[in-house]
Amino acid sequence: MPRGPARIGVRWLAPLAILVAVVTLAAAIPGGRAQAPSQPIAFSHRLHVSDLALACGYCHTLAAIDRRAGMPSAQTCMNCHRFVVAGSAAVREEQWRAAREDRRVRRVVSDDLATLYRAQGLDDRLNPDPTLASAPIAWARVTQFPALAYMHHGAHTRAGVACRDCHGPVERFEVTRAPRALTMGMCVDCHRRGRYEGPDGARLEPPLDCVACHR
Amino acid sequence: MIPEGWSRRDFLRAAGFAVAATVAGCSREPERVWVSPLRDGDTAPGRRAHYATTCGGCSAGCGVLASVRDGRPLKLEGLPEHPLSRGGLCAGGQAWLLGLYDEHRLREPRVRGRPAAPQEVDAAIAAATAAGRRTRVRLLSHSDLAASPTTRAWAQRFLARFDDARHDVYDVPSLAAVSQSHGVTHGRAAIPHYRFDRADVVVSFDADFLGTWLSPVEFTGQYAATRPALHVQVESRFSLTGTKADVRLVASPAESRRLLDALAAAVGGWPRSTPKAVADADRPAEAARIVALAGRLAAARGRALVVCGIDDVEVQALVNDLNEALGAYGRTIELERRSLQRLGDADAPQRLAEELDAGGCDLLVVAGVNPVYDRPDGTAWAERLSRVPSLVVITDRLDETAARALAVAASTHPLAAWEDQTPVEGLYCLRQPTTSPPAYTRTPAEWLAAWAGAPADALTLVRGQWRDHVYDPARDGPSFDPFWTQALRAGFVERAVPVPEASTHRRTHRRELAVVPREDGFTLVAYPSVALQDGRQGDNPWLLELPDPLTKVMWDSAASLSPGAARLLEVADGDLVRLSMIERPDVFVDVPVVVQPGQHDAIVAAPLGFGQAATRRFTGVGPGWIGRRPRADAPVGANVMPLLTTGLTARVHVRRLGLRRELARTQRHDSQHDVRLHGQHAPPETPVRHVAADSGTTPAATVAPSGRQPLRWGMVIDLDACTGCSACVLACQAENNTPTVGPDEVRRHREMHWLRVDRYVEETPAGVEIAHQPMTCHHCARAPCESVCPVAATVRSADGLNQQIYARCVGTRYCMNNCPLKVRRFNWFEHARDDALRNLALNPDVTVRSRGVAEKCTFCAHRIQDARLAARRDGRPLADGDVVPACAQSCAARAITFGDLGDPDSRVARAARRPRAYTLLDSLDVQPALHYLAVVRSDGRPAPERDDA
Repeated sequence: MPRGPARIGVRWLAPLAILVAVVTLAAAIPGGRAQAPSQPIAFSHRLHVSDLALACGYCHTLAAIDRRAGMPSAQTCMNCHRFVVAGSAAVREEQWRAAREDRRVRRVVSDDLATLYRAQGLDDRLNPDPTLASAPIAWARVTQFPALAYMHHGAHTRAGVACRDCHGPVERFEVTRAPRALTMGMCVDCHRRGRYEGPDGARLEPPLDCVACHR
Repeated sequence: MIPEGWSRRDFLRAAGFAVAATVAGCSREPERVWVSPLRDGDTAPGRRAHYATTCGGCSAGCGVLASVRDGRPLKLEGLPEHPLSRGGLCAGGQAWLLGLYDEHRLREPRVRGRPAAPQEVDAAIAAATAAGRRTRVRLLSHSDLAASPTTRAWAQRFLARFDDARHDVYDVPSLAAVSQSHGVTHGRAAIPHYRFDRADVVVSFDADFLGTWLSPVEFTGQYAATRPALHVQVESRFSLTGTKADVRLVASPAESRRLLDALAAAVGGWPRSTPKAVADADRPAEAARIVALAGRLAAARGRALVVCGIDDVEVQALVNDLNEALGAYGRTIELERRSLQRLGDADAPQRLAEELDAGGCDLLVVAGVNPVYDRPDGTAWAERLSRVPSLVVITDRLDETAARALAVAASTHPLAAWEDQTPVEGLYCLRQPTTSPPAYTRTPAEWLAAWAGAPADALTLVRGQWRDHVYDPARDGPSFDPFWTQALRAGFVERAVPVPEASTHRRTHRRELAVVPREDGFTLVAYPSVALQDGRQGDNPWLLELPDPLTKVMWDSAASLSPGAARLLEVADGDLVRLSMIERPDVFVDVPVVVQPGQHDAIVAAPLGFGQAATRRFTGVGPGWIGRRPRADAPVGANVMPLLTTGLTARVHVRRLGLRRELARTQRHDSQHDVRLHGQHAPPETPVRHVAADSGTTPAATVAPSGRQPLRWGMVIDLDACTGCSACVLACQAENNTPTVGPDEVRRHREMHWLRVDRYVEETPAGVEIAHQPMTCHHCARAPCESVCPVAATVRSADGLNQQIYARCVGTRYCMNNCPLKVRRFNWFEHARDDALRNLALNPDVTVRSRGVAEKCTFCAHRIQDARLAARRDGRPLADGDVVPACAQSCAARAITFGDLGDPDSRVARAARRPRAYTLLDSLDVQPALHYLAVVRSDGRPAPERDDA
């Protein structure tokens, strides 16, 4: 059957129109897929968890006991970053430069850590700077959890659910991202299988009631 | 639409690819997580902390446990250890929280009508007292200020700076006659501490002690714990207390006096002051009945209590004589332990008014009261106050009096302040801030301390007062700090009361009760309503939308008339009548009528606390949509104070206006035999069942008597304990983010309360009886709502809850139509969530429902989960009593029991097996998880068996 050029235009018009509509609509849907939003500080989970072997609970202190896992306050960072003010590569480079230029080694402060210090009203020498106001660090949320559901980190941690079971291999992430969308299917699947054991060795039977999450 | 040559499948594939490509390619501005740079010791985001403090919703001073999350209080609960309230908290106390988040609260002081710094108010005071000691200063306040040791001390220090200064106190309504009469009869002018828990026989003359009189939460707890074997209520209108009475006698205030006289004569053997003929001609049947009760009273010597709400010293003195003759003092009445909940002096306002009119005052400080609104001669006060050289008002809102002030000293909400209070002598209660206060407000103590020349912050003031006057090193140890920490943790400190020299009763003369002539026409009885109490929370939307327990009217001050009076005036519910003073017909108030069976025929009863100028802001209350009928631009209800002269009664003309204002009511039928289902009369089962003293009842068969059954959450409500006070209604509203909808929506049956209290009126040969029935989702095992939902948005959980899943609900409302109890609610609108400040009171643990979904009681499923998690954290099984829903927590009468019906030994299962237990609508076989315990009516016969477990 011969087809004229005009017909080809019509043929693509409807899908195109729908494509445009869908693009517009989809922009309004919060993306739950692997997102890696840019953060105010380029924090590397790979460095801190894999290389330095910090436990998740060292920073996310509430994950084992509370509803929310909690983000560490800047004071927690300062346990180490009071002394570690720049990456080792930058420090080595400065040492090498200083030796070559035959001068004293200058203090190097990385940009990211300078952001951390400024949030606490500290200058690069970690002295209080009255011109800097202490302000919260505005981390970008990585893991999206729908507002219509309630979950309790502590309950899951106590049941033996590992962080990576939901959050993925965070210890390998240079840039933190959410590798999988937290969907109801994923929650229910796990609750149905009930593969975790309680402290007494008995197999746990997680609730499958709607009000367990939706209330 | 699909182009030729494309299959449907091709099209979907293309569209699906488009979606995937878009979702992968687009990103939105990420949500931010703000993390405090400083570590905060004991708080964590999302974790609740609890602080003990003291309620300021009225003067009763109940203990409160404020639940604080993320730096703001979200819910007030009764403090279980508090000696007065014992864990109960009334509707007013629950709603007190909302006042903290009121955008109409003053956030800064005002001087000459303009916002000002606190120091400018101090400067205004300094200017007003420039004459030094010769300045004549008056302080006018309500009892709370005088009952706070710290504030009173600083008021005294401020006033001590002047030669001619005085602190006057008055209350609305006044209980000064009780105090004055004790000065006459016992030489100690004080309101005693009443002990209803020690009384077997209680006779109340017009005292609504379970609803509004003196300390209702405390008295409800006492009354319910050891229900008196006989409770006689003599009253003209139907009060909350009257609904619980075994014998209720209807008498006008004047007739009550004569009945009291007859009772006193019969008990004490004293000659009657009223000619017997007058009294008996008045109410012969009632007179005969009350004299017959004299024997019961006398037999209960030492366990009897007579209380009286009539504000007349002679009447109260006769009550004291009667109580003395019954051996009540030292047993059911503790005169050595004064109540400081009402310290008002009946003559104070008049005395001050005369001084002001004579120009005898240079500086008047008004704190906590609003004389322009709450005095009968309010218009005279308005004029009087505008002539005062300097008027400074300490208040939290721009009320009628503050609008006339030179300076308004903005006071901090007590939930954000350090304060103290002594509701009863020897009981010191603390208030501690549960959130940070606004920067430019001060507590009354801070204001007075600044004016006394010793400015300090409230914590310093309260601590200083407690260190010097409450702390006792001999008793509390050598260091003050541990004592203070312990006091803060507990919320109160009890101290032995120095026993005054034995106050001996003196009956020196025969009391002459003035013979009040029989009146024709109507007597207005103004009463504090259960919701608004003394009116200090008169602009609280939660309280304005709380149905009155008796009339079920909200958002209006309806005047109740007896059915006979309504017939006489040819008016019905909603008809407007004009109440006008007999002497001055130009003083009138127009109010709608509500017909109240069981009321005296010559009485028109109207609630106080309405008609405040501040309620004008509710003109646009409710959802804005094309079919709305907005309220008139007027205050909510009408203030009946101008009609009163002395006390709370006045003779009035009642005239029908021929206009109507449809009442916003949540229950329009009175009798339970009048209920119609689907156009037919209800099944023969009645919602409220009565048990007579001598009749047996069959046990409810729905609960297996033995053997462990699967977990099933259930509730038992003891209707005999329930007073209908509606605290549960507001506790539920605060806990579950239920919106207020406004009167127009209520008229369309679209109120949103998950828990309502129905009341049923029965005409019996003994008189009119009213029973209350809290009604909420019954979580039926065979729930009619579940079977009709097309999307399975309401399903049964493993532990017996009827779950409502908002995310699934598509809003067919089939469930609501099929619910035989009408407990489901529908979100017709996106209800007002645009008040950013008020939204801070929302409970983050419960979803805020959006438009188009059905909702209903969840049995506080989130509390069940929290309790379960807490038990698991502690490594123990969930124990009986671990889960307390919000309604059960606030119930002062402990009428609500919640727990596992499957455990035969749980409190709730045992209660459900009691002979008085029954369930609703047995014929439908819905197998509810909510059981009721029938009301016991003793009708004055020997005590019925209430403890039939």
